[in-house]
Amino acid sequence: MECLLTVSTVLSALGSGLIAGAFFAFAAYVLTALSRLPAPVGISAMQSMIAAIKGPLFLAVFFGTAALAALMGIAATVKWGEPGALYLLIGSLLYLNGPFGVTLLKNLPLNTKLAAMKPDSAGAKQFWPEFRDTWGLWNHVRWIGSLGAAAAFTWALVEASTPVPARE
Amino acid sequence: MDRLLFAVTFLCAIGAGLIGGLFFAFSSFVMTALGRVQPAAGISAMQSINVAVLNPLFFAAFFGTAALCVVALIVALMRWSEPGAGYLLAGGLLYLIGTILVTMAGNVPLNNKLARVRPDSSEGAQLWTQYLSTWTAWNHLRTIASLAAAASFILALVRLPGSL
Repeated sequence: MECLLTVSTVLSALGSGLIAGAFFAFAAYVLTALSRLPAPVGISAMQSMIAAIKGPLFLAVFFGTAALAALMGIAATVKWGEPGALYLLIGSLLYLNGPFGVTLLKNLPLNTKLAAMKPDSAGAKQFWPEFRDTWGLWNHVRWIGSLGAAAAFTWALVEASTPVPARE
Repeated sequence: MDRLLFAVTFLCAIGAGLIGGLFFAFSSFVMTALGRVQPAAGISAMQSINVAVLNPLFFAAFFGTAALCVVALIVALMRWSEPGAGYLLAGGLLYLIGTILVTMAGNVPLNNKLARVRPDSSEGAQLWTQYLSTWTAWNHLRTIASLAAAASFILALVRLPGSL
């Protein structure tokens, strides 16, 4: 049981790190790169990414980490008071609210709206800067949330593996 | 393992995970997406991405993690008999060779080649097909190496008794 929890926590930390990095790519340069292109080219590239992200590999990591994060939240309440439990809960809440919740509630509706537009239409051209601003802002929330989750899960492992919880 | 080394290892784990995820985006959907649009659009989007990546935020994460990995590697060799040193060494080597060296030797030359073609030329379209498969293959390698480095650093943190 302990071993299973350790493995699950390591996988939660790695999954959160992967998702953080995937969104960080958009925050650090992909969105900027698309904004520099003529609007129809930028829009069609973004639409293609919105379609391609629904591939099995990305979805497995995205939803797999969400499932693990939910389990970590349950494990934290069961083991409340033991070393690492607090950080398991923090990691769980950060992932489920940050990358997971924000994606479903904020980025996804914007994606759906953009996906329905014709890249060379006037409506799409008008919506494109607004999309980048709003989507980009929520994207910062989710990459930072996911990175915070990775750090919290890693910290939970460190605390749980320390024989005597050393608090000075 | 003192507090400073602990902090370095922790940041190595987080940095390698972040960079692994950044490349994972390209391996899992970005390159597929760019391969599906018109070649001229795909090429100009990738060219723009390759210019935009040269910015302080990316460099801080990419080379900052590399610098910390060098520190971890040196400490691992100096304290070889201590628990966790093997994982520190593995993490450092995986990131420096599998991510940094692969980027410099595998991906960057392809980026330079792509930067020189006109997106709407037949020469560009020809190079693009080759770029999509070769660049992506190198990208899979650096994604896996970076993720494995993150795992090694996490194990190094766990293995060190009294590391807090």
